[in-house]
Amino acid sequence: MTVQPSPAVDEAPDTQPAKALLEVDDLVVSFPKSRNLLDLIRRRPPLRVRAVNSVSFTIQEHETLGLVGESGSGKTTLGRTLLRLYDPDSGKIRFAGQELRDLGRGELKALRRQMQIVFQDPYSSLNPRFTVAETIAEVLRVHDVCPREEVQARVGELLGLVGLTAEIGARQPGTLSGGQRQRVGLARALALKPTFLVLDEPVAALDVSIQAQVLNLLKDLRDELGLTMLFVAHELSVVRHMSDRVAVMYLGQIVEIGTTTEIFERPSHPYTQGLLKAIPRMVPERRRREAVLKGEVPSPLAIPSGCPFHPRCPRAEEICTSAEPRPIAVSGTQVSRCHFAEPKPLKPRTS
Amino acid sequence: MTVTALMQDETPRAATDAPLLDVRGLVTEFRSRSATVVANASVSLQVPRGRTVGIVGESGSGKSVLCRSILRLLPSPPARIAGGEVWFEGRDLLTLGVREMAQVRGTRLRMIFQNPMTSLNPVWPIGDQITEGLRVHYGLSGHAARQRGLELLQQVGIPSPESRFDDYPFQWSGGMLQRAVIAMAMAGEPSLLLADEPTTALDVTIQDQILALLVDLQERTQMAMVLVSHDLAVIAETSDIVAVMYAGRVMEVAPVKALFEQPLHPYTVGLLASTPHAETTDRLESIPGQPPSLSQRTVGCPFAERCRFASKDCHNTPVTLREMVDGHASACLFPERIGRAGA
Repeated sequence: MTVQPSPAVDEAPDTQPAKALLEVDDLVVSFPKSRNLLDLIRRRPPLRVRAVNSVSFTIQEHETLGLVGESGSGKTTLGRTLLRLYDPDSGKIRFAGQELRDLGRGELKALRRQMQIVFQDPYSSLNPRFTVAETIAEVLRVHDVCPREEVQARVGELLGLVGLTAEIGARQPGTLSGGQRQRVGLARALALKPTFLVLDEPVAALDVSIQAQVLNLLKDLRDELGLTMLFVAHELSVVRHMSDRVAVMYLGQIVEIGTTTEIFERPSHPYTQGLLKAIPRMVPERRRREAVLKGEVPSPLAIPSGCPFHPRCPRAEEICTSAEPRPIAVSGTQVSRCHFAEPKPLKPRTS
Repeated sequence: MTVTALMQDETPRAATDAPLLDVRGLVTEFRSRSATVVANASVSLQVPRGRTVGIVGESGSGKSVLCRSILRLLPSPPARIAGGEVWFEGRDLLTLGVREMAQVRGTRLRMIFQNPMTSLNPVWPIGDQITEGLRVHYGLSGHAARQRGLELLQQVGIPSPESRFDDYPFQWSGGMLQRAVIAMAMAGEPSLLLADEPTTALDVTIQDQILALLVDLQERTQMAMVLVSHDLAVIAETSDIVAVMYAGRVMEVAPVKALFEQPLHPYTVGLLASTPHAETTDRLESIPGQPPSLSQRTVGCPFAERCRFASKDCHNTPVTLREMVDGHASACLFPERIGRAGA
C-alpha cells in the first residue's frame, strides 16, 4: 500500500487576499490494527489502518470548511489530528504559520488556546460529576487565563454567549437536555477565545428543532467572534447550510473540494454526485428510483487499488483499477480526484 | 376521537374497506416511584391496507412507544397500556393471550428496529435466525426453511446467499444486517410491517439502498407499512399518509402532499422550517424552547408553550384531532391562524 505523494494542487491558487489560517499538506494518519495470538505467533507485522491518506487543504481566516463523508471516511480522525489529538505519520499541519509537528508540550498547550473542539456526543463529552460551571471554570484554570476572582463572572458571560442562563451553571449535565449540553460544550470550547474551532458532528445527536437552534447559534457566534471553523458532519444539508467551502472524504482521501455552490450544484466527482443523489428530498413524492450507489464502503484495511472508489463507481474504467487519480483542478476553486474530471468551461454569458 | 379513514382519491377500493390497523385512543404509561410518564396519551391512528403511514416526531414524542405498544413489546412494569384498542385484521390485539400475540408477531405483523446490530443474536448464525420463524410458526422442515431463507436473502439483495447463510452477525456490515432483519420480517409474508427508524443508524448511500428495498418489497407484496422516522425527507419520499407526533400525541395526520404543502398544525410548520434544505437561506426558523416533560400533565395543547400562535385558550382547552379537510386532521384549536401568518 504505497501512497503517491500528491502534488499540492489540492488547493486552488489564492484568488482572495485572505490569509490562510490552517494549511494541511499531504497528511497521513494511521492506526495499528490489534493483532491476535496467531498473528503474534507467526510474527506478522502489525497491519496499519490508514484513516487519513495524503490529505491537503487550507482554511482561510474567518472561513468555514465543511467536511463530509460516510462513517469510516476519516473525517473525525482528520479533525482531531488538526488539534494534534492524534499524531500524524507524515505530512504538515501549519496553524497561523506555525508547524504543529515541531511544537513541544508547552507550546502545544499554548497553541491549543487558539484551537478548540466541540465533540459530537454531548452525553459523553461532559464530566457527569462536575457542575456546568465547574466544567467551564476548569478550562479557565488549567490555562490560567483569568484571575481567580473573575472566573465566576466569566463563566456566566460564556453561558450567556451560548444562550444559557447563569442558573444552568449550578446544574450537572445529567439534568440537562441534549441541546443544552451541546451549548455547554460550545461554551467550554469558547472559554479560551479560540480563533479556530473544529466542530465534530455538533448537531448529529440533536432533534431537528433543537438542531436549528444550535446551527443558528453557531452562525451568530462565528460572525460575532470572527471564528474560523472546520465543520465535520455526515448530514449534507447541514453542511451546505453552514459552510463556505466543502471537502468530501472517501476512504481517507479528499476526493473533491470546492465552494459550497460548486460541490452542491456542479459536483465533479462521481462519489459526490452519488452522495448528493442519495439524500432523500423534502418533496412529497413517492420515490421511484433505484439506489444510486451500489455496494458498501470497503474496509479501510483493504483499500481498493487505483481509485479507492472504483468498485462502486458507475463510471469506472480500466485505468481506475490500476492508477490512483491525481487531483485535477476543475475550476479555480474546485478540485476533483477523478481520472475523468475535466476543467469546466465557464458558462458563456448570455446578455 | 378517531380520525376517519384517511384515503387519497386514487384508492376507491381501500376507501370502503376497514383499515388494516386501527389504533383507538391508546394510552401507554411508564410508572416509577416518583412519577408517571404518559408516553402515549390517547393516540389514534389508522393504516389502510397496502399503504405506508409515516410517523414523524422528535425524541420522546412517543413514536417508538406507539410501535412497541401495538406489538405489546413493552415490559410491564414499568410500562402499562392504560387504555385504548388496537384492531388488526379483525381482532383487538390488546385482548389476545400471550401465545396468540406471539403468533401475530411472528406472522402477519412484523417489526424492524433501528439498530440491526442489536436486533440479531450475536452467537447464532444469521441464516438460522431468519428461518426460525418459518420453523416455529409455519412448521417448515430444516431443509425447506433453508431453501426459503436463501430465497429471502436473495430478495433483499444479499449476493451469493448460499455462502453467507451460516455467517454470524459480526461478519456483516450494518447495511447487510438491516437487509437480513428485513428478510426475517418478510419470512412470514406480513400484511403490516412496523419499521422503527430503519435507516437512522446507516450511512446515506446505504439508507438510499434500504429505502429502495423497502419500497420495492412493499410494491411486490402489497403489505402495509408504518415507517417511523425523525427525518422528514425520508417520510416525504416513502409515505402515503403522515402522522406528526409530539409529546405523546398525534398532532396532525394528512396525506403526504397535503402535510408538506399545507400543514395545519403550528408544530408541523415549525418542524418543516427547522429542517435545512437546498432553498434554506441564511437562518433556520427554529422552534423556541424544548418539548415538555411527559410526567407533567397538561390540560391544554402540549405545544402551546412553544407555539407562536398560541393564545390563552390553547393553555387550558383540551385538544383533540379534528378532521379539517378530506383526510387531513389537526389537533390545533386555531389552524386558521397559520394561514394568516404564514402568507
